[in-house]
Amino acid sequence: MPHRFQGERTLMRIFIGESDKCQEGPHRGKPLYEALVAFFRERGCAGATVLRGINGFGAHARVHTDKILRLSLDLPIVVEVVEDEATIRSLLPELDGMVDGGMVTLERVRVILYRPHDIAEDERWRHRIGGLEAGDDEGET
Amino acid sequence: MPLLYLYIAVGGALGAIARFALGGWIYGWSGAAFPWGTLVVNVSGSLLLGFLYVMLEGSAAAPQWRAFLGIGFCGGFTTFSTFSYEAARLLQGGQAGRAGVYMLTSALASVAAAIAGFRLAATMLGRG
Repeated sequence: MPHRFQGERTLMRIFIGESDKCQEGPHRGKPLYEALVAFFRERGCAGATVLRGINGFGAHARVHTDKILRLSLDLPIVVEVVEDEATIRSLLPELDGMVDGGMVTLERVRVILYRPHDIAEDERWRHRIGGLEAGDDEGET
Repeated sequence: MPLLYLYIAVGGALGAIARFALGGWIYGWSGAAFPWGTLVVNVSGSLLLGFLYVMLEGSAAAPQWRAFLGIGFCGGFTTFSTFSYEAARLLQGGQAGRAGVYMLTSALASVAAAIAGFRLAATMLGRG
């Protein structure tokens, strides 16, 4: 049996700005991307990743780019979380309060590998990418 | 602390804020493909300093005004470091032509603007 996390999951992407601050909850006032990561960690999510963009624009059509110093004060940030859909849905009420301006998207993804880097040798088989050897079940749950 | 430091500090703060505001307004319509904001700031600041320098010559309060408006305001308003950063980023991004135009235009137009500032002030003082 593959690891419980492999299979059909939901990818949530949160598009915000580098200078956005958390609006609500225990992390109010912190940089929003830090607050979101802390929040997802507290809620036991499988993981979260923050990406910083070098160029982009949002709802106001204002360009943000690190090439022009004056326009580099609010660079694009994307926070990505992969979880099962029920967990993602349970995060949404608080998430809605934390974010001021931004965009949130959900998409279906298939997790084919999820393992910590220091996994025990006898556990390793459960964390392999499925479908690499004959008789594998392609990682479906 | 000498009073002169205060003149420079206040002038510098106002100049930097003026640059931030003017830059934001310029990029609002110019877009981000070329550092228009920094170019306009450096050229207009050079014009202003040239103009002020001649206007203040001979005034009894000239040293204080020169500290406040020249070293403080014009110093905080114009920005050589931003020019260098943006030219370097254009070069790094493979936009050598655009970087070259930016560097040449900034240097030549700023010096020409300072000279124009001298002449404008001299004309206004009836010494042109």
